[in-house]
Amino acid sequence: MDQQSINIIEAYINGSLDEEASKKFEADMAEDEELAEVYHEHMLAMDAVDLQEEKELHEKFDLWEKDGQNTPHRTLWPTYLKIAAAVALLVSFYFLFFNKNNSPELNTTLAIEYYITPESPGNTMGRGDALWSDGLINYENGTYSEAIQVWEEIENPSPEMQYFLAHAYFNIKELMKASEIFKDLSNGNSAYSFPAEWYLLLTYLATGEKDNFDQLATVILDNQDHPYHQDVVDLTNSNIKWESDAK
Amino acid sequence: MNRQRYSDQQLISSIVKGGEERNQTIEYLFHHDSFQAIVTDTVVNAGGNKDYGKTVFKDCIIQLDKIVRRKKYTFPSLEQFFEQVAKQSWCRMLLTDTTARDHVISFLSVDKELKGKIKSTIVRNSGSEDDANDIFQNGLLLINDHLKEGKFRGGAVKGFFYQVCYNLWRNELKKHKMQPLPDDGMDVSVTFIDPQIELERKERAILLDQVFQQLGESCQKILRLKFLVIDQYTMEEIAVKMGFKNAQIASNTLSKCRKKLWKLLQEHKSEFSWISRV
Repeated sequence: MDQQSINIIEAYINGSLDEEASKKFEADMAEDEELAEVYHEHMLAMDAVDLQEEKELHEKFDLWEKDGQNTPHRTLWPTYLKIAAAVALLVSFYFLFFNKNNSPELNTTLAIEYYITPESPGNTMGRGDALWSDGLINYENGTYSEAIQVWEEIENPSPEMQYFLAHAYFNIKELMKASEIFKDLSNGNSAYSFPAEWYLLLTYLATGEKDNFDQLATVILDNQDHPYHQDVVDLTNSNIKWESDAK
Repeated sequence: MNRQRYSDQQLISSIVKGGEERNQTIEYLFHHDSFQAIVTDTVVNAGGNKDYGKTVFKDCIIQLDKIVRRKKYTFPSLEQFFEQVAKQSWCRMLLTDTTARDHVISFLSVDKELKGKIKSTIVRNSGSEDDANDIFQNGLLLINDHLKEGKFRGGAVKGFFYQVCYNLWRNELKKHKMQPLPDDGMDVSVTFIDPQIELERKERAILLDQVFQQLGESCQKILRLKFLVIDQYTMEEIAVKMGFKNAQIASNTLSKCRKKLWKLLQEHKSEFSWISRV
C-alpha cells in the first residue's frame, strides 16, 4: 500500500476529506479489498490504543480519588508556570553562557539560537523504570540537575536515556559532559545518532572548538539525507566568528 | 474549582495537544464540580445514585478524551456533552449490570407519589385499587426487561415508568373491550441501545486488549505514538521517539504492527462471529 493511499485513509478517519472525496473513498473501498483491509487495520489499532488509554485513565482516576481526599485540586496553571520557569531558565542560561565561555559571544548566541531542548518523551509509555520516570519529571519541570542526579544512577542506560541526559547537561552548561555523551551517541547506531550529531555540532560551536566543528559540519553537509542537513546549511551560512580568526 | 475557569475550547485544545497538558486537563475535568453535578443529577433522575453518578462521570471523561483525541467532538458545549453522554452511559450500564437495575426498581417501588399518580390514573379510567396495584407490580417487572433490552433513553425514569404502567393499563382495557385510554403517542417499546451490539462491544474490548498485550513492547509503543492523539506526531518525530534512523523505517514498522494486530484478532474468527464483520 503506497503512502498516498495511507494518507487518504487517515484523512477519511480524521474527517478531513470533503463529502465528495469521502464518497469516492467509500466506493474505492467497496471495490478494493486491500484498501478496505488497511482501513480496518487502522480502525482496529485506534480502538486498541483507546482501550489501553481507558485502562490507564481508570488507574489515574483511582489515584486522583485518593489524592483528592488529602490535597487541594490541581489546576492547569502549573503548565503556564512551567513555561514561565523554562523561559526564566533559558534567559539565565543565555547570560551564564556569555560570562563563562571563552568563545566569541556571537557563536554562543548562535548556538543558543539554534538549540532547542527536546520535549520529554513522556513518562507514561510503560517503560516501568522508576529512575527514568523520576528523572523525566525533573526534566519536564526544568530542574535538570535533579534529572541528572537520578539518571546517572541508571545502569546500562538506553540511547534514549543518554540522549536526554546529554540535553540535561547542556541545559546546565556542563558542555563538555554533554559533548561526551552526544559524541558517543553519534558514533552509535541508534535513532539518536543523527540528532546527537547536530547537538554535538552546537556544543562545539558554543565551546569554540573550531576544528571539531568544521569536521563534523562537513560530514553532515556531505550527507544530503541527514535530517539536520538544512539546519547545518543555515548554521554554516550564519556569521560564525572564531576566536582564532579574531587573532 | 466550583467555577469554570477555562472555556470549553481551552479544555478541548489542551486535550488535543496530548502529553502532560492532556493529563492535566483530564485531572482538572475529573475534579470539576459543576460537570460532575450535571452527571450526578442526570443519573439520579434516571434512577441511579451518587455512586453510580461517579462511575458514569468517569466514563464520560473517557468518552470525551476519546472523541476529542479523534477530532470528532461536535457538541455545542461541555455541559450538553456531559448530560447527553451521561444518559447513554447510564443506559449502557443498565443493560448488563443487574445491581444497577435493581437499584432503579427499588427507587421506583418506594416512590409513594409516583404510585399515587399511577393509581389515580387507573382508578379514574375504569380500574380499581387492586388493578392499580397489579399494574404497578407488573410495571416493575416490565421496566426491568425494558432496561435490559435498551429501551430506556436515560431521561426521567419516573416518567418512563409511568408510561410503562399507562400502556399496560391501556392494553388491559383494550383486551377487555372497555373504553380505551387515549394513545398519547409515547412509545416505550423502541430500542435505544441494541443489547447485542453492546455485548459485542464488551467482548471486542476484552479480546482486543488481549491481542494488544501479545504485541511486543515496540509495536505497542509505535501504535500508541501514532494513534493516541490524531496528528500529534509526524513520522519523523515518531522515528526519533522510537529510536529509528528515519521516518521510512517508522512507517514500515507501523504498518507491520498494524497488520500483526489485525492477524492476531483474525485468529479468533471462529469464536466470535462479529470479527468477520470488522
